[in-house]
Amino acid sequence: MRRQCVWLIFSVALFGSTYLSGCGTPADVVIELTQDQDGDGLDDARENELGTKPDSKDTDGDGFFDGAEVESFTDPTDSSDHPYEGGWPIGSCRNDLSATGNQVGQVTDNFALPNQHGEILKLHDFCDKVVLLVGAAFW
Amino acid sequence: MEQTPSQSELQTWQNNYGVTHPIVADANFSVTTRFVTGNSIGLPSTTLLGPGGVVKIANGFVRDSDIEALLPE
Repeated sequence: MRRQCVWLIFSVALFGSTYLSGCGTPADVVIELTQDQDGDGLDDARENELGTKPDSKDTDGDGFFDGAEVESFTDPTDSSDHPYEGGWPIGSCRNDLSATGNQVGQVTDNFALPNQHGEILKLHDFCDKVVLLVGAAFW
Repeated sequence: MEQTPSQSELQTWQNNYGVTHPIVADANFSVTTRFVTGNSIGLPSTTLLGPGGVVKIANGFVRDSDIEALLPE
């Protein structure tokens, strides 16, 4: 006789997650259903890890959702650190470079200069890219 | 007289030339001169960095092939 499966959905408030188990033998099937109450792309457990607000899409109020900031390797709790308006991708190694000098073969110093969108652009944000720096002037 | 370009001037530059890459205001050529030896600088000045911020060509002539050689297959 075929066993009837009953899916049980219950919330574990302490952990902010919902678990789904089936067939009366929870050890057989346990599927974690994540809960993202603010819909910012980060589940509540991850928000707790990062120190962001599970009930706010944009914890630091800089106009970028918390999930988008994490994907862009920026700090969702720091309003001065956010993805670039120009959409330029930021490398995960942005904080890992140690400058050694500005001669060929050395790791160049970082810089932080204002860009055309009024943001501060940091060179090391493009740590995983090939970068062509062109110095020019206009009158 | 040298002046640091404003944000609106940088946007004008972007619009005039149709570029999509970052344009930054390098006050007093502080970054540009990092890669220059001597007391004079020619413009435009080009410097090529590889992944990891490693200087490949400092204030020199950058060919397409130099860039292509650094790009992943």
